[in-house]
Amino acid sequence: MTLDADITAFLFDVAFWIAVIVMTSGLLQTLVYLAQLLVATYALMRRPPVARSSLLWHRFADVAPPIAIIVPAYNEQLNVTETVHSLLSMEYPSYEVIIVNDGSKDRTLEVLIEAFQLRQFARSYEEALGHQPIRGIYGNPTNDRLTVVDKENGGKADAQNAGINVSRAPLFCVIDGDSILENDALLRASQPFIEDPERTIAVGGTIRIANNSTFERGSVTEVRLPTKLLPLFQVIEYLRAFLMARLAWSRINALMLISGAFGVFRRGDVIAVGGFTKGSMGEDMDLVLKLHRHMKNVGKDYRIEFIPEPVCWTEAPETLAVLGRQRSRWQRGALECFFRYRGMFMNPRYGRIGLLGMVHVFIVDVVGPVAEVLGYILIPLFWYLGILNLDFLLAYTALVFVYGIFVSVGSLVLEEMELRRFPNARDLAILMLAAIAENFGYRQLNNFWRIRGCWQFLRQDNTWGEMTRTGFNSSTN
Amino acid sequence: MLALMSISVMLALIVRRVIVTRLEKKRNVAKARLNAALIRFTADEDKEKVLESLSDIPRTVIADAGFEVLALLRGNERHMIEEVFAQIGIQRVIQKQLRHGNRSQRIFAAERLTAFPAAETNRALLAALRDRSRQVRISAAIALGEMQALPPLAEVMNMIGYRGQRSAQIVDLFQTIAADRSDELRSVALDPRANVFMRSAAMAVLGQTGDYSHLTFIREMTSDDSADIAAAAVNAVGRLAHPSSAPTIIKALKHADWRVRSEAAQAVRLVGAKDAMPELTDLLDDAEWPVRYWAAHALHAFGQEGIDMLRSVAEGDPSRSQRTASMVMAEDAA
Repeated sequence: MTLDADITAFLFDVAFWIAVIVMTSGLLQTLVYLAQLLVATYALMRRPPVARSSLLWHRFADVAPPIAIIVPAYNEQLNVTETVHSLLSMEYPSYEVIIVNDGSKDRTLEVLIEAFQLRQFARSYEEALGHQPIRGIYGNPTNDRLTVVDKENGGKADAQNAGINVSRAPLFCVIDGDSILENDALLRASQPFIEDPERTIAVGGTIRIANNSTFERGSVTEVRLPTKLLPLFQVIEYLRAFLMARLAWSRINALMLISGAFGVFRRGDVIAVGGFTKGSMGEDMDLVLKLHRHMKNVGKDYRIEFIPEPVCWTEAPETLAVLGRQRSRWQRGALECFFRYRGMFMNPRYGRIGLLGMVHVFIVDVVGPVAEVLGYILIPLFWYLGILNLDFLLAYTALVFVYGIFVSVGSLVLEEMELRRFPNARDLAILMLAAIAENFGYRQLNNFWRIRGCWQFLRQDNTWGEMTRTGFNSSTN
Repeated sequence: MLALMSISVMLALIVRRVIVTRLEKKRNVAKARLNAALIRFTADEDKEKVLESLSDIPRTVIADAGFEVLALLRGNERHMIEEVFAQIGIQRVIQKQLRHGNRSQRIFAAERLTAFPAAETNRALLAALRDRSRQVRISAAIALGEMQALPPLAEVMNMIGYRGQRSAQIVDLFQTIAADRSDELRSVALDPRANVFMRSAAMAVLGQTGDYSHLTFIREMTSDDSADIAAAAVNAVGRLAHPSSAPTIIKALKHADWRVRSEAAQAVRLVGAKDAMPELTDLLDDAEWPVRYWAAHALHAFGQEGIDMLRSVAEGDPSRSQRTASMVMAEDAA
């Protein structure tokens, strides 16, 4: 009897401490999000209202540095023509477009050759970064702005490295093959390179969800919210990720991620760190971490910035299966980067990156999903078994839902106060409802996918997963 | 409580959006009327009529949207509209924006004020050189430069400040005074206390003037201790493209810093330094790709003699030189 009582007491103690750990982790995550929201609010308030792109052209056209836009394309036959049209109509004084066909199994290369009347030609390039062999380089004899590099399959990072080698401009911009850059995005993204050319080494812009918006010859003609629930929730997620998190980290020069879907980098510095890491699941985060580490190691003053104004449109997954695969992959990428660069974690030598950025990755990406899912299961169970009292359960529920709603709606408030990019009041009302609703079900599902990503990471599962594309809406269709 | 607070704020913002959308519609109507009136004026040149049309359009709309139209015009048409704007006092609206607007408005105001050359405008822009934003200070300096009213450059650079001096827009500022006040640019380029970025920018702008009187000075700067300055000077020598600069460029081809060698390899064909072929051939094996690339292109640009040299290297044993030569031969043949 005494033994039973002891075991029960011990189990109660263990359960209590598990609950405390789960709660602490949730609390830490919430505090991180709140801090981000505050810093992002401050950063946005300090930012001047956005100048028209015609003014930026007038102001910067003479001094804007040349940029090579590098687009890795793997099985992108559906969207690649639209993407290239968009890129060829950019408002920027000096740029070239390099599409890298990464051994696509579909007709990506043929579609490009037909659409842009390309012919194979010889182009000398620097072999600064390693990559799979290039099979041919194509261009249009009457338009030297577009170059297509056809190479053997080696993955996204490998294709990007090939593009960096072939490029000649001092800056390069990477975007995904299924993305569309707004016409003035380069002009806006180049601003930090013009205003602070000595220190700026990388700049990230905003990614927006294109589902249901209309495009014509590579330009957005009508911005509409997605009609389906999953992409709608992703609109809120992207707002949180870009407007809140990245802006906040950028403000304190501790930005840990520039999305692979849209970032501008100084070519020389990227070559100095060996380019994109091949086979990495989070090659974009990996590159930013490498740049931080390199610049800190050589003791150079530098800036890696996020600016919200330049926009790149991308198609968001519309099915649970595809979205789940994407989120698991992102989780694997984050874990991979954290453990690859673990030497920077809490290391004062790396300043804010080691003491804030890496700690943030640890709380949000390493511990976060596990603790949150454990919380969903264990806290109600412990309450049901009488291990935890009702106050504890209510506190946890408040933490998960109330702060979740506050942070999501807060990001939307920030967007509307400072940027106002959603076309009308009705859209705002829909988004507000979505920001509330996503906390009930969608967020939990996301954590489940992230746990799956953790499991795949532990099993060293490096499959990428297929992304099913529907293509951009075209008003000409 | 927090969640409710954020939802309440969001609801208020939705209401604000409805109001703002209505105001914007009104503003767009005024803007359309303004555009129509200005376009009509460029055709009929009827000043009375345009003044009457503009009388009930808000001055802030004219000060903003009017300059979009102005940006499309040149010569007499532009001058006529500027006169009309001056007559209805748009410059005072803009001067007010320069003092009290947000940063974006202040920068735009400085740029627009060049349309109203007057002592009053100069005073406003000189005051803006003390603005709290360095971008506004730079824009004001460029505007003053364009109006040939820039105070001594050294003084202005001090006002622009440490970070502003490192903006690429400094090149724009230097260009506004390059023709008449090149001695001040020389002083900046020579000043060892000035930052390297600013000194290089001054050098680049001197090179863009096409004025051979700067040649001796710039050539001397190719021997500067700072590789950045030396590279900028070599670039400027190339831009001036005077044949007498060949020995300077050939010397720079052997510089210890690859950036200087790379600039020299680009400049060599601009000054027509055919004597540099042996040095260029050596550079085909340079450790840095840009140097190899530009050296090969320079050889190719020298005509048959250079092409023969490239071909002989391309047909030789596999090496870095051989690969560079064959790649550039193939590229230039395409």
